[in-house]
Amino acid sequence: MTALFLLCLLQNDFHVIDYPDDDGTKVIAVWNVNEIPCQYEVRIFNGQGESIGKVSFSSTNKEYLASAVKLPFWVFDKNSNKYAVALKVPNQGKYKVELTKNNKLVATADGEAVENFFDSKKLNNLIVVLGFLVLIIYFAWIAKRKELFIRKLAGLDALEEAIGRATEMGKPVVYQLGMMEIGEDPLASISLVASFGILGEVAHKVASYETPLLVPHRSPLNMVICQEITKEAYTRAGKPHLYKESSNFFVSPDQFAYVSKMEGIYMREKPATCIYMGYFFAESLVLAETAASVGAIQIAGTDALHQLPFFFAACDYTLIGEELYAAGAYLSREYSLLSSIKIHDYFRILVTAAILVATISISIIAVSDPQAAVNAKMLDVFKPF
Amino acid sequence: MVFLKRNLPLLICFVGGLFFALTFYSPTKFSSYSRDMGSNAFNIISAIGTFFGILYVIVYNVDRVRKGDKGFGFSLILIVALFVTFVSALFSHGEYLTLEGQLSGIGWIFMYMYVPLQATMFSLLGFFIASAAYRAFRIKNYLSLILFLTATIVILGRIPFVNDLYKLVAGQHAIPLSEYVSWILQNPSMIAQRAIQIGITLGMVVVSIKTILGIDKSWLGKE
Repeated sequence: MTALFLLCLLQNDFHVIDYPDDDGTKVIAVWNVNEIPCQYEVRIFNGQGESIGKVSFSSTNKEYLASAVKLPFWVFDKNSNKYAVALKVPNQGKYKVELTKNNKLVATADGEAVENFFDSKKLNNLIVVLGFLVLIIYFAWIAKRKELFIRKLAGLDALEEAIGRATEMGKPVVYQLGMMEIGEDPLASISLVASFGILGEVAHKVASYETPLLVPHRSPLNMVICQEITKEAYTRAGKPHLYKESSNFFVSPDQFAYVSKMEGIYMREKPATCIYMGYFFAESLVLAETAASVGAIQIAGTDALHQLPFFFAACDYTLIGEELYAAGAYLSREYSLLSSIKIHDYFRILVTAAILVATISISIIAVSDPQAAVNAKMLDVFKPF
Repeated sequence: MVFLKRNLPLLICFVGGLFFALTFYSPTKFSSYSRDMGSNAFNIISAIGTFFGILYVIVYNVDRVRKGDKGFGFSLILIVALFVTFVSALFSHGEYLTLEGQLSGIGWIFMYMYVPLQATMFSLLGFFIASAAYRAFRIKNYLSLILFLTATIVILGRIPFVNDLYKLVAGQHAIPLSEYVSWILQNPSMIAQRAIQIGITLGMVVVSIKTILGIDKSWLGKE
């Protein structure tokens, strides 16, 4: 009987490994694929011998094949001739796993769940980020030595004209940073950080021309940051006495309460120039159309894809997506910031080249050999894990 | 002073940015705990900020009423509305419904004042879309002609009546108009969107790294 069990064990090659790159709350049971249809059950026991979980499935179920495991090839061998069943455990430690086939125990194995310090699934991501870092340092070094060519951005070149117009008309310039609060959404906050840089440059120009500036806010945190930026811009322009604390004012955290207040300001103050830089939602068109109706020049820049068409339709100039991030550097003309625009461009070339090479090679391989495992491996390189 | 105003925030940004970036590459329980703590800390700061923001609104509007500035009546309405809402919320224990299942004071304000006001502002969007579309679809050159034709197909293809009419004209076996719309949205439109999205993502990475490394200090104002 014992000899039969050992024979089964050898045939199955049943073993339990730690789930790669996790917080020590999973193990994987792996064994050879059985050609004859059967019903499997995998049970896991803790150190005290108590059952803490089980998975039952038919051998024909492809969800439990190793190839279906959502891990990259450099972390886990996705050999399709094996089953791989992930089992949850409460915390790291040693566990015993039993495999039953058609209700008969065929194998047992011990395994250990370990908390991993480094998530090697994200190695592809880390390599890209390190590439960015190297390029940033390289171009910051290059930019110190020679002037970098940056193509013209019509929307930003028009800023001077727009502020000049406001000065001539004696009307205020309104600058809006969008609907995000700093830190509210990590991704959308990045456009806010870019917008702070642009505000610094706009406030500097506005101060030079001695034109009134209005910066409404839906977040008190943004307001405090912008007060500091505006104050320093006025000081830099040599006009600290013109700075008014009230040029930055809190409106409301509520989207449409904010819009109604801004519409009121537009209709009463009739600003000559309205600048929108940041992440906007449905209020974008309401704001831009109201400002258009009072004859304001409008310059918008957003990374909110769904709002870009509205700004295109209603504003005189629109910065598309990444141009918003480049705007601060473009206006300040600081070498360290300009270098980042170059890095951005080079990385875009790299990404485009990678997409082209991957698309062509994957297509060729897929046509010549549809079963080729190399395609799945290549796709893993581009996937987030 | 310079240390407190510039160097210390830059140091916090560098250490905090690097730490949270590293936790992204570490699957440990400590990493997820740290991220949660960071998020909670932000919520606390945000709540304190909102409190001061509301305080600022009250002080500003009380001042306007006291001075009798032009339009001080609106400030008065705001103060009264703020007070009534606050008191209602206190008496309703912040609950939308009473124990009997009826609308509480704050629930009533939300349902019969806040929601209609929001809907009114949002409905303005419909009119603004029409006026913006009128300007956007003016045919000035061949590119605007392409835009106009494409937009016409997409708009008409979304109307069931037009789809039925198209079937009558083109025949039952013709490719439905909605298929053309799907093709436009999933191919040329999607290609442009993806291209912009790739640019945005790269821009985000660059801005983040610049900010963490202290290359971009514009968020602190310039020296």
